Amino acid sequence: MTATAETGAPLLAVDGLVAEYRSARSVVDAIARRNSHVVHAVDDVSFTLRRGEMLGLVGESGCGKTTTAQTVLRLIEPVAGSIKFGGEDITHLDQRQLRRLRQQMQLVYQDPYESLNPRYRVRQVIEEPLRIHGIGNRQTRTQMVNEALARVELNPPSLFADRFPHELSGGQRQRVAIAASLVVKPELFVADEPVSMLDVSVRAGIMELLRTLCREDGMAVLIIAHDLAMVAHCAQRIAVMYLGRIVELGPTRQVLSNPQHPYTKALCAVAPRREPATSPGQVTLLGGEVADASAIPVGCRFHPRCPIADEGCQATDPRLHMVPDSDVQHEVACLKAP
Amino acid sequence: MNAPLLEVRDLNVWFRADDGSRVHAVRGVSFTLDAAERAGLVGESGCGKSTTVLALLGLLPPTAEFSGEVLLNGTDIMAEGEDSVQSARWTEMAMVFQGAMNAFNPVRRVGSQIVEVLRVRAGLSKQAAQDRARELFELVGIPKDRVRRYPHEFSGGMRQRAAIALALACEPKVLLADEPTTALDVMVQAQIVELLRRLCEEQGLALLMVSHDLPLIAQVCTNLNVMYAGEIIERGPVADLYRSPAHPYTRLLLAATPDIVDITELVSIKGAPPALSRPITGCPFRPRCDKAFDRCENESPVLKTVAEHRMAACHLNDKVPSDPPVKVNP
Repeated sequence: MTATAETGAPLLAVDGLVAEYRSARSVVDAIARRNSHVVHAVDDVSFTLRRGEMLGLVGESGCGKTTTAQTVLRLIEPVAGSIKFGGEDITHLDQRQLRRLRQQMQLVYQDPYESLNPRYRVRQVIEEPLRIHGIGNRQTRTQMVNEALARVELNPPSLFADRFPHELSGGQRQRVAIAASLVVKPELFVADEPVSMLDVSVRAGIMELLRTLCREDGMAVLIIAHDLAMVAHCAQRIAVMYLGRIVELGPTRQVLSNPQHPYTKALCAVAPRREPATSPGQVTLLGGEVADASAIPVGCRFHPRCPIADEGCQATDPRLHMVPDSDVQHEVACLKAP
Repeated sequence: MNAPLLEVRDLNVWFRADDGSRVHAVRGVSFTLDAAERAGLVGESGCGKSTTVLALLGLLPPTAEFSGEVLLNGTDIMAEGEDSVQSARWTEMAMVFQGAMNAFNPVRRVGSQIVEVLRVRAGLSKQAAQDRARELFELVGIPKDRVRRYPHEFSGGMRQRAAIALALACEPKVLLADEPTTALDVMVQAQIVELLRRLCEEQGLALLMVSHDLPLIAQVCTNLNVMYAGEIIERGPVADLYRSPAHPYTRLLLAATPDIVDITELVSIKGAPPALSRPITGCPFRPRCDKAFDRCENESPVLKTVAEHRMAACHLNDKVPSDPPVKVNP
């Protein structure tokens, strides 16, 4: 490991990240001399991630979770802010320089039915990243493929290596996708909704696998999910996002046992429980849906849906601040929070 | 006790594959639904949940064959094949489909699609149908001036609300909901589930909700049917099933469900459900079961009463009566 691991500096440090999408300017817009629409998908997001740590990025769709992850991996160009990976500023590296880093940062997609090439055998799927990065020769690569398959508990590897994706179940496919990412021995592992397409009965197995990679191999894992409860079971820290901003960030237990932001509270209230609701209908539900990211409310972004918002919230945009009396790094962006 | 509103007796569905083989997707499912009862059908994908509800409405694809009886108020609506369901569809039994995105014709106004159902099915005049459509919109919590909007102008949650309004158009007695909240956000999911619960309570509707999401179904339904490999393997009141599952599959399914407060280790169920293209000997859950024993190999368990209002199909429950009853000191 590098020196940074011993000194405890984070593997990934994201500071003030901003990402935008611009819609194509239509002919009508051009004639009317209007600018193209800008959607601020991620607006001033900062967080850090250490080796051996799992951070859960949670929020409803359209809140910017996926864009954040893709910007961190430089799959989307950031508009502002900085991304430091292993102590090196990678915000402005060009694609050739990035190639070297790609091996160290890997991404697993949501849908294992779409993410695997249907004409490749499992062996080819997993070997491809090794070939691209020029790792090993044919013999050692076969060895590495088998090791990766064993690592994701597809045992014995010989049984799975020559199958096609369509011969595998959803859970097995996702394991193959994970194997294809970890075969190049990355330091950062980004998983975008890795279990939401899978059956409940196999979800726990995939999450447990990610947790093992994190704990035993010291990988840093950024997991994106809309399911707060699922993330709660394996991530050490949780970041709750709303409309492109992190509104609450802290250790999982603190955030869930003592949520500070009204949005986090609402998410906790609707999260699944292993016991049936004692009094159904008693939970206060948030009205409405996530606002359009191209028309972000003035003031606090959450105020139109917030049950405790007042005039101040309509005027002032709250920033993340430390929760008082908390001995851990627990931050919240709410004017009404203590 | 009154006769149930809906009774399904020994429903079997087979799908013909291209190679001539048959997949036995629903294997002898029987259940009843009383008026104003809210029941859930839960299980993994491929266990036959959706096929069961589609069969009730006669909406199975042409490659399917079925047997069994579906009694609605005592009359077998399937007696003359799927076409005889036609008269009951929408007026007696209506359905909210999975994926609200695709339930509406994208090039027609949402309101006019509801008006169409009302005119064809309930025989209302144009004006009466339009008034009723507005009423329905209010009922499901959409501003009534939205009737003239197109589906793409609706958010996902609102589209699902409109789909519920469409299902309620002809005042059915039974509402079938197939994964009504998948593809929706958690917060919107909770809103839709709450809407369904409230509507059933207020309108005295019977609900049969299909979902793979156990906690979600537990929020709406009072009774639960757990399906596995095309069979119902456990049934009972939601609270009882949660407290003391009588089938290992139900127990493991609960253990695999994350809980936001009780953050204990999650358990995954090893293996996968059996292929339904071959006959199954013994208990279908045996290969994945942590409590399987000799008898499970050859003898398939039948669904039988294990406690009041509770049924399960597991040999383990036969052992219970042989245990000496616990003596309570006077």
